[in-house]
Amino acid sequence: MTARRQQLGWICLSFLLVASIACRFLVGRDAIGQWTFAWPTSDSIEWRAGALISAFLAGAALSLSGIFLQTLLRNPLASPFVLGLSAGSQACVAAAYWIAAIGGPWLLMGGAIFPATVGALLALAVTLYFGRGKGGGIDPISLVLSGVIVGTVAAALASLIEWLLPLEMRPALAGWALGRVLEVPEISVTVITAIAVFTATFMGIRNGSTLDAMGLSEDESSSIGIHVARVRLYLVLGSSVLAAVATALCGPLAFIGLIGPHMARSCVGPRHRASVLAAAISGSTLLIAADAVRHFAPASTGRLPIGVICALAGGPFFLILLRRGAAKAWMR
Amino acid sequence: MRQAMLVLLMALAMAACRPQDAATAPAHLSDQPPRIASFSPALSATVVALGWENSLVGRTPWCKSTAPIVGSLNDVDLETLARMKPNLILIQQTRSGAPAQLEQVAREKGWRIEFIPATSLDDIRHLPTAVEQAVGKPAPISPQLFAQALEKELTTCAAAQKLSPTILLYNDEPIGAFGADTYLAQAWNAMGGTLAFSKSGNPNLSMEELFATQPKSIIVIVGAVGDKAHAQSHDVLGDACAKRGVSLLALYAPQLLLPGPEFTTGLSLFRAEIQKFCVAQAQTQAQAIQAPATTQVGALEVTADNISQGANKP
Amino acid sequence: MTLKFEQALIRNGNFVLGPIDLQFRAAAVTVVIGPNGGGKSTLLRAVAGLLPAHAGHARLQWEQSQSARADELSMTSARTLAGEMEIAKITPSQRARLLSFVPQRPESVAGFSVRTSVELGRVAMRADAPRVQLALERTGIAALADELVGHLSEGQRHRVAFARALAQRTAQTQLLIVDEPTSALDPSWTRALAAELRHSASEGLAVIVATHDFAFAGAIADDVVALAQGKIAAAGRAVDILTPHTLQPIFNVPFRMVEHLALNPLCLPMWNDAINAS
Repeated sequence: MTARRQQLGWICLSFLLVASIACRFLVGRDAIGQWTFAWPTSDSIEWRAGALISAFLAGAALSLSGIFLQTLLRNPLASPFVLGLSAGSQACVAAAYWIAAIGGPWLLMGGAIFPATVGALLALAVTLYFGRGKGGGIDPISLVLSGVIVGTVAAALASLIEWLLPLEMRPALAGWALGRVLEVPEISVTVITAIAVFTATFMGIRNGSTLDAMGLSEDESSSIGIHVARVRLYLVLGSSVLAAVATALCGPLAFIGLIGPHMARSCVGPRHRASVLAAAISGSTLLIAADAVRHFAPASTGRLPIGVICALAGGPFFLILLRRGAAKAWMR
Repeated sequence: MRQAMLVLLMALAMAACRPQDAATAPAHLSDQPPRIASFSPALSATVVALGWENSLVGRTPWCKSTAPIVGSLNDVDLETLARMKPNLILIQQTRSGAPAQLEQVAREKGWRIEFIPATSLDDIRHLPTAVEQAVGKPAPISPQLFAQALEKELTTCAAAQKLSPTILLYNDEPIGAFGADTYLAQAWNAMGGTLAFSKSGNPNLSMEELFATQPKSIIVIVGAVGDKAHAQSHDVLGDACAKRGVSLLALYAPQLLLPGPEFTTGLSLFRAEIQKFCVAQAQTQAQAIQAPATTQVGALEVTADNISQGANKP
Repeated sequence: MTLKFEQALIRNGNFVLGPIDLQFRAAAVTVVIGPNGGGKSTLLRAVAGLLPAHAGHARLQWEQSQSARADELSMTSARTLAGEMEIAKITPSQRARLLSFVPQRPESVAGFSVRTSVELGRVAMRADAPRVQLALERTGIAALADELVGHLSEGQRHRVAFARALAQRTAQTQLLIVDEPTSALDPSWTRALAAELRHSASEGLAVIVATHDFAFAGAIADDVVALAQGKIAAAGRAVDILTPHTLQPIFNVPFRMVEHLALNPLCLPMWNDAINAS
């Protein structure tokens, strides 16, 4: 990655971010429900800004979580959705709703961030435990398989809990489980997400070379002075919290956390000093773009669910990565 | 840092918009023509039936109307909703209330949110009145008419008695039943029928559970055209019923699946169909056992009576 | 400074090495040999402080005259008694200044350039571009500096790992540990590597190398440790150990003295009789 190429990458990323923001800011629906492309009315500006902020933060959080997981596991297929973190959050939040339905709503204070974090951590722990090969090393493909199964089970748990909930409480969960981008995000969740995103970006850039060194084998990174256990702990906590806040804000969105880091690396190279910030920008760009795209739907259907757009765009990307043997090409 | 700037700009934009919104004071609804956004197909149908078709300015993708779609409770399209300038938002009553962001915006904009229950038969009885009350104006079409029409369909029906105890299904694969506390079961009771089981809600039943209750008949209410053929030719359920001498009746009546004003129409159709079914059943029985003609004539008379009663449309 | 193993028992998964008593000299090359599964890699990882002694001790000891170096490493805290310290207990940043470790199968991110990958050697220290350049040149990969690691051959990647270890070197570095370096190397780089290792020893480092290559071992070794089944089968000066008499029972293969090289006699396993017999 020459300096010139990296410069070009930064320009490209900034352009895409600005373009997606502009697109989301200008797209709307007219009186008969047809999509329009025009400057918003004073009324709508606030909501479009709100949707932009929540998409910006959730996308950045997911993408940062993805890049941290990929660094932690040295696996380019890792992402909060693929490894089951999002579903884990979802299950734990559903459980919190259930407990709240019985015990009291205090558990859901702070917009479910606490149960979401617990869920993400649990899911990651289970995925790592079962994805770990016999020899102690982590086989990239079995890790992903383990994550997919953990995610499926966690999603099923979430459905089960939803099923157990009183009928009247189900809609609140159902909407969240499908993924959403709120025009008026809850202030507390937004602020916590913003803090998490900016802290993670700052720490990631600051400790860029340490994260780079995590790409070496464990013995090598230990012997060049990396406190491997400590850095891993930070990465586990960081990626879980980021996945959790994004899930609390926008629900379990697929693949943003996978594509974001790859887009970042292909633009500015693999060194974390650059790619962490680029990953945050890429994730934001992707989710904002997805939120914009879902408005381009006929009047008869209304706007499309965001979860569907993310999965439709991200699934093929994952398959292409798999086809290109990305899982094996990471470690050399 | 560019991102930080953008977020800051957005925050500023938000702040700039706030005072303007606060200035629009919540107006008194009765002074203005109603502008209703409904987040429930049943409530949308009620609004239309009451003659406020032109006042319905927002609906879900599942409501039958030409009004713009303003999303669903899962994903409220605030912008479209605001563009339609509603002054009343109707939501089918839930304990969890409205989505937080809708509630917040409604408060700021002075939109009134009304929760109207639509679960039991009583809810359906009061639905038009409740919507009229929520709007706060006399409806173009009197809600009383709906209540009267509904009461007509809730009179005792010989066929219902004959088919009882029964199980009412809204789905045959997997088997989903109307529980004892649902509007259709309550209507069935009002028609003189009984239910073969006492579960509440909308339980999913296994084949075993279904027949363990020893129903005399099973009635499948089909809601989509594609389902109709499916339910009628559903061999597994059909065979099981035939083997146990249980009458199986599949009925295409989507109106019965929506606890709205069209329920009355559906009920009328339902009555007609079960009576027809009973007549046909009696005829095949008569042919099969070659019984004396007098009893059959009596049965036919009773059914014919009920058919004419059932055909009385509001 | 010396590195001393006293009744040290080291566990690596299910494998147990020891208890062993060993002493590694500074300014000397110690070659670790032994059959597969004998415990070479386990010993090297223990020397690097990557595996703790489960029982007994694996300690660094230094004399009074060398305590200045220990001061630089800021290890003469209350925790160090009488100028010695358990090697597995030193912190990672101290470890980085104290030793370099080149594993048998180095791994790096495929998307990193060779230079980036070598620069990682100084991640815990002040960046030092001239030293990185020197490391690249001494390992003969300066021309590849802007290539991606993913495009390199296995031998070239091993050179990158060795260059990283050279880049990591500071005035305080005491140990250079290299695990089976010759398995993927061509003769010219093997030769250059041998010279590098001797050069490091001449600079005062304790160089510890595991290998199966007896020609290589003979060329560079001052001391030899032979491990078999998790125990020390033989240890001592290279001239004493690299003899058919000592090696034959350890490897179960006939050995023969071939030629007298600069440092040690060349003692090689024989194949002809095995091939003829079959």
